[in-house]
Parts: sequence; C-alpha cells; structure tokens
Amino acid sequence: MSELAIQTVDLRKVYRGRIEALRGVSLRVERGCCFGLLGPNGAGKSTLVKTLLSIVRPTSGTATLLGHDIRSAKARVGVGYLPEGHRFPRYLTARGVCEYFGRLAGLNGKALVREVGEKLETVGLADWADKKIAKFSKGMTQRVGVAQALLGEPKLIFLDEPTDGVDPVGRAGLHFVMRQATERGSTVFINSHLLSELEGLCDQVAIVHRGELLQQGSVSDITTAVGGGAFIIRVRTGNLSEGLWERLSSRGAKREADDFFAMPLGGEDDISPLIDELRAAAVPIYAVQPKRVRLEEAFVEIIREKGGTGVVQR
Amino acid sequence: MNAWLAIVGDTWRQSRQQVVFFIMLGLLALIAIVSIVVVKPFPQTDGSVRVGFVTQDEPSRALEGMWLDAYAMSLVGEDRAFELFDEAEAAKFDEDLRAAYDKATAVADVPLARRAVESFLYNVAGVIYLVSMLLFLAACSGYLPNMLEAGALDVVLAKPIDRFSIYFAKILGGVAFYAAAILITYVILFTGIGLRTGVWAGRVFYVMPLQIFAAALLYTIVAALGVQTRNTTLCLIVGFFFYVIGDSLLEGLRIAQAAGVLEAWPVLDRIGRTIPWLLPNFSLLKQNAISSVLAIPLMRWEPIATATAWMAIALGFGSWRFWRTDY
Repeated sequence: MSELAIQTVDLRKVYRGRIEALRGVSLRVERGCCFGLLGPNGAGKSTLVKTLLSIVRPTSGTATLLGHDIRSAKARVGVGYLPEGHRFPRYLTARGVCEYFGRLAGLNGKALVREVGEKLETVGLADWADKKIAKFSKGMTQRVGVAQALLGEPKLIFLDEPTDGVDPVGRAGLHFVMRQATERGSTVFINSHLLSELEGLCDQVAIVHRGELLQQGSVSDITTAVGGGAFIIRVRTGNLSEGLWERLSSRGAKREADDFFAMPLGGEDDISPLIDELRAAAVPIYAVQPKRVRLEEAFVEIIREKGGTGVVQR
Repeated sequence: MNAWLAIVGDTWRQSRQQVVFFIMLGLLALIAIVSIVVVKPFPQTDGSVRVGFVTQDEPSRALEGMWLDAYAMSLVGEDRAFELFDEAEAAKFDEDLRAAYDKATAVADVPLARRAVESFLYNVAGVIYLVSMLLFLAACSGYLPNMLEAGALDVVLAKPIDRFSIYFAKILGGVAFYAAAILITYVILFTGIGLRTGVWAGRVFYVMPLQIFAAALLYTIVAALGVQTRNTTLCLIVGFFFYVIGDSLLEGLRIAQAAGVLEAWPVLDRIGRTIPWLLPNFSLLKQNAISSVLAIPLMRWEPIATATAWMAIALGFGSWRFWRTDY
C-alpha cells in the first residue's frame, strides 16, 4: 500500500486556447494529514483537484490517488469530494442528495441509510434531512455537500472552499468535522481562500501560482522561510519618551496598532535586557509576545516575489 | 449496478420535476380514458358480441372492415397502391387484392368483436405514439444539458464510475421513464377496453418494443447533441425537426417514390431511393409498431436497420464526447 494519499509527477494541463492551467506540478501528500492548497484566483487549484478526480483530463504527467493511477475509476474508490460552487439537484432533499451520491459511491441498503443519517447529524442537519435543498441557505447547502463528501468514511476527502458561505458558528462545526476526519485516519485536502482557516487546520500546505507549485511544507516551514528566521517580539507599553523611541527605532523597532511596537531581537536571551531598558525608563509594560509571521503574510510575500498579487500597489 | 440504478433513479426524479412530464402523463391518460369511454359492446341474438361506438346504434362495420383491409393490404403489398400508372397495372392490383382478401378471410379466423377492437386500438396506438413521442422529446431534451451544468456534474464524475456507464445509465433512465409512461397507458387501455367490451386485446402491448425503440433513437440523438452543445432549446428544436423530417418528409418522399412521381427527375429519384437508407423513417417505424396490434404479417426491416445504425452512431458519438470532455 502506498504511503502517499496523493502523488503527482510533472502534471500538466493545457486547456483549449493554449491556457496553461498546470505547469508540471509535482506534489506528494502523505496519508492521514490535513493538506491545504493555497493560491490566488486562477492559480490552478481547482484544476489540480479536478484533474486528480478525472473531471479534467491531464495533458501530460502522472498522478495517483491512494496508490491508484487517476485514469482508473479505482482511484476514486474511497474518495469524497465537495466541489466549489456545487449545484445539487434542487428537487432532492438533504437526505436524497446524500443517498444519491452515497449510491454512486457504492453504498446501499442499511449501511447507506445509517451513514446518511449519521453524516447529516454530524453537519447539524438532522432536523432538515427531509426538506428540499431548494429551501436551504447557501451555508446549509454547503453542509449538505460536506455530509455527502464524508459518506462511506472515505480515506481521502477533497474539499474545495468548504466553508464558503457558512456562518462563523457553522464554520467552527465544519472545522471540527474535518479534524475528526483526520483523527480517524482520513487525508483531508482543502482548497481555501481563508488562510487563517488553513493555518489552524492543516499539517501541510502547498502554494500554487500560475499553475506552478511554489512551495510545499508545514505552516511553520513556510512562515519561517518567509520571515528569514528573524526573532521578533511585540511589546505593548505606556508612553515612550522621544529619546527612548529613537534608540529603539534605531535598532529596528516599528510602531503597530494599540500601543504595540514590534522589535527584532537576536534571540530569546535579548528579551530581558529590553524589558530592563524599558523599566529603567519607567515605561509601564502591559504585554510582551512573540510575533509570528502569519500564513497570510507569508503567502502574500511569496506570491509578490513571483510576480504580483493581482493588486496594483502605488 | 448500484450506481447505474442511482443514475436511472435520478433521471426519473428529474423527469418528475418537469411540467411536460405531467402534461404527457395527463394527455396519455386522457387518450386512454376517452378511448375506453367511446367504445361499447353490442350483444347479438346468437349470443356473440360485436363492438361499436357509443354514438352509434349498431356495431361498427368500419372497424371490422379496417382489420381485413389492413390484413389484405399487408399481403398484397401496401406500396403497390401508389403504383397504378395504367389500366393493366390497376387490373393486376385489383386481382391480387381480391385474392389477398380471400386469403385473409380464410386465414384470419378472428371474431368480429376482436377485429373491431384491434382496429380501434391500432388507431388509438397511433395517436398515443405521436403524442408520447413529441412530449417525450420535450422532456428528454433537457436531461443531458441539465446534468452537464456547471457544479451539477463534478461530484458524479468524482465517483468511482466510468463515464461510459454514467452516459448509458442516463440514456437508460430516460428510456425507462418513457417505457413506464406508455406501459401504464397501455395497461389502462387494455384493462378498460377488456372490461368494457369483453375483448382482451393483449396484442396492444406488442406496440411497445418498437415504440420504445423509436423513442430511444430520438433520445440518443438529442442526448448526443446535448453533450456537444449543452443547450436544451437547441436539442429540442433539432430533435423536433429530425422527427418531422424522419416522419413526414421521408414518408412523403417514399410515397412519391412509390408512385413514380420522381422518375421525371433522376437526381431526386436517386435521392429518394438513397435517403431511406440514410435517415430513419419514423413514419414507417410507427406503422411497424402499431401494426403489431393487428395480427398481420407486416414488418418493414429497412427503417429498423437504418434506425439501429443511427442509434449506434448517436450513442457512440455522445458517449465518446462525454468521455473526452473536460468539465
């Protein structure tokens, strides 16, 4: 059995009109992890997922899901999928949607009935199971989509913008469901624009841009790489005298909101001397915290280095 | 098999969402009920029963005679009726027709009540055929384009089923829906007429295979077009014209051909001879189907062969396009 849930080797997709959506993507996703795929709009994220699921045919390169070549229907056994912008048949109830896709996944009989009931309960739609989805809000429809993707305890689950349109409470519930899935041993592959979401959920992330894989690693690998390994702390204080601020700013301090300033240090050993310096100037200290480079900042930085964020900066 | 049934079932649910589905069921039920109501039995003094219409005071000789006409014409060759160019040919035809009538009368030992009922059902089946075919066309034109809408297909394609199976299950689902609709209609008709006249004309069910075959042909063509264009309206329009051309135009051409009208124009004549092998003649398919009600030896294989070839091409092209396309 392959240790990898997903492996792609030099995967390329050129659409008609010579649009190169994927330019030789080589990716390895280990089993049992929560994997996040990041990229700006049009980066090729959805094309990559669709190619892996044979919704789109690759132009060249190879790929496997759970050790099976994606060209075989066998590769999609034990795989759940929630597409972005899905449109389930509006004439079906939430239960009907799940039963339909459950049957397509090979479930039937009592196992199907039990699974559908369980999954609808998991996403908080047990009371709405027999209502037509035409009456559902976007967030509720999204939860139906997640429920159908979880049917049959899939070993690999693709979720394309899973919390799109879901309110914060529902989002927290879905995060819990995704964590449960990975705890059970499933591999969860998430495409999302909400980088804070991925930062909290994913063990591994990859960044794609213009069809190319720019980076892959853990969240801390990527943020550390972008931060250049610098140690920065944030300090919230009372008023700083001009003289003191000049000394601090000459060592790289920068003001931030809410009376914070950020300051690069050589390491943790330099924190106490800085506090001593502030106390010596009778400056009240309210908070001292390490400043981490957020995934979003790292992402923007990486994309900017590669030719822009799509936003013109003047 | 489970996945196949799921797609077939979904097509059935999809059908139930369409107004045209209810119009079709309603019209078919109406035709069946009116047909049951307008016939009645006429008990005879010798204990036998004959059949006629409620508006008449005596059994319908027209219905009884129609049965024998159809039988005799099938023996003599229906197309010969158009080939009477000179007196000698007309005389020969009359002679053959008389012989056919004699033979039909001798061979076909069928009670008058059954002849009348079968003739009546032959005509009713013709109406059911036409109405159901046009309304099914309206219903099935949207099956493939709706399935291919963005966001509707992705999850289906991501399941462990190959695309050919999805396509064929979708075709099968549409045809099953049509078959169920006409089966219900014929069961109502068979039961109602049987209870009303005492004649249980089971041959009315013989219409179904060819009727379903013709509907399946139309659906496979519309489905292939649906995969290519993803446009319901275009599928409906092209499907309608294909049916009209295959029904009226080809039949008109066939009659003109048989009557020798086209002989003055060699090119048209050649086209007239070739086209029946190029396009399926829905009118002849209908004749083949509804003639099954009458116990007559009438079956034209030419339109069936052409229709089978078209169906194979449409299925092949449609499934190939579905297999090849990125969604």
